[in-house]
Amino acid sequence: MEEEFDEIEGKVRDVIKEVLQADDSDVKKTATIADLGGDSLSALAILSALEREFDIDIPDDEALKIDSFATAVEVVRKRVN
Amino acid sequence: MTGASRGIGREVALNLARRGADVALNYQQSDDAAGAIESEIVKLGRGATRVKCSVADQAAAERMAMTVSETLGPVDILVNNAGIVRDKFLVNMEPEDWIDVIQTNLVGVFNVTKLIAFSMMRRRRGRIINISSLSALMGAAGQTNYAASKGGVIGFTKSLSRELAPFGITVNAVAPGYVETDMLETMSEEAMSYYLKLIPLGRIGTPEDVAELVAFLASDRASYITGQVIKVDGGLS
Repeated sequence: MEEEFDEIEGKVRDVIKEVLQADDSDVKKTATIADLGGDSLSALAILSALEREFDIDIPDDEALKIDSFATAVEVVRKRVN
Repeated sequence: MTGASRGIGREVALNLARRGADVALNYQQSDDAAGAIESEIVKLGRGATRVKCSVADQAAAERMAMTVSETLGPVDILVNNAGIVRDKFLVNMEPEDWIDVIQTNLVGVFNVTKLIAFSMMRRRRGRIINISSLSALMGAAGQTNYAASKGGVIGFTKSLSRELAPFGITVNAVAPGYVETDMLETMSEEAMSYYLKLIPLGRIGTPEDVAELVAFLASDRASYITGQVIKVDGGLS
């Protein structure tokens, strides 16, 4: 069954997809950056792309938590809302 | 700059300030000493702030990293200097003597460096200088705990240098030999005169001797040096 993504989740998925050159079907809600073939370099690229996409500044201590789709969504949601 | 209120830390903080750096001083005990260095740095026209906390406490170390970047801006140079000694022969050493030294000297380096390294990675610039010790390289009777912690710092330095090299961040260790600090006061006079004879340059080192190397490693002039352990020991080893 297809997962439902809300607006923020959809945008986060697109950012991760683009940075990691992943397919739609790979970026599931449970996916980690490592699962998708990412490393610390790509995690930083995702971070910068998220800041640009949502026009937010993510402080270091929160940015450090981003290691998966779910943590990225959580951190972004906190800043956007 | 951790362990900034006394000894080598104090001298490194002042040296870096004289070269134009704003300095965050971390210390655990000496309020007056840290305050005096802070005023001296401000007199030099540089920014200074001090944070009293034990680097052994992970939550406190992370709070410190956040506070410092909010006060002085992002950290470009991290000097891990905070260290304690609990010298005893192994057979007399209590588990706490072992654990306390490892916790401050080695785990403390992890606690402080993690968040700051991440911030440096995001900005793709930074210098990390870890103060190790000649004890880690030569061994020293009565310092199994201290030498193990400082040896750990060397492994940490070499591995982290590889992780951070792609980001243009250098990570080096400095291994001082015998240097005139409070730490040396634990040494007996007999031991001191014995070691003096072994030091080719014929004198005990000064905190300035170590600070000069740290300042060089922290500068742009040292941009091609990473993952190294550099001794400042008067030729002892």
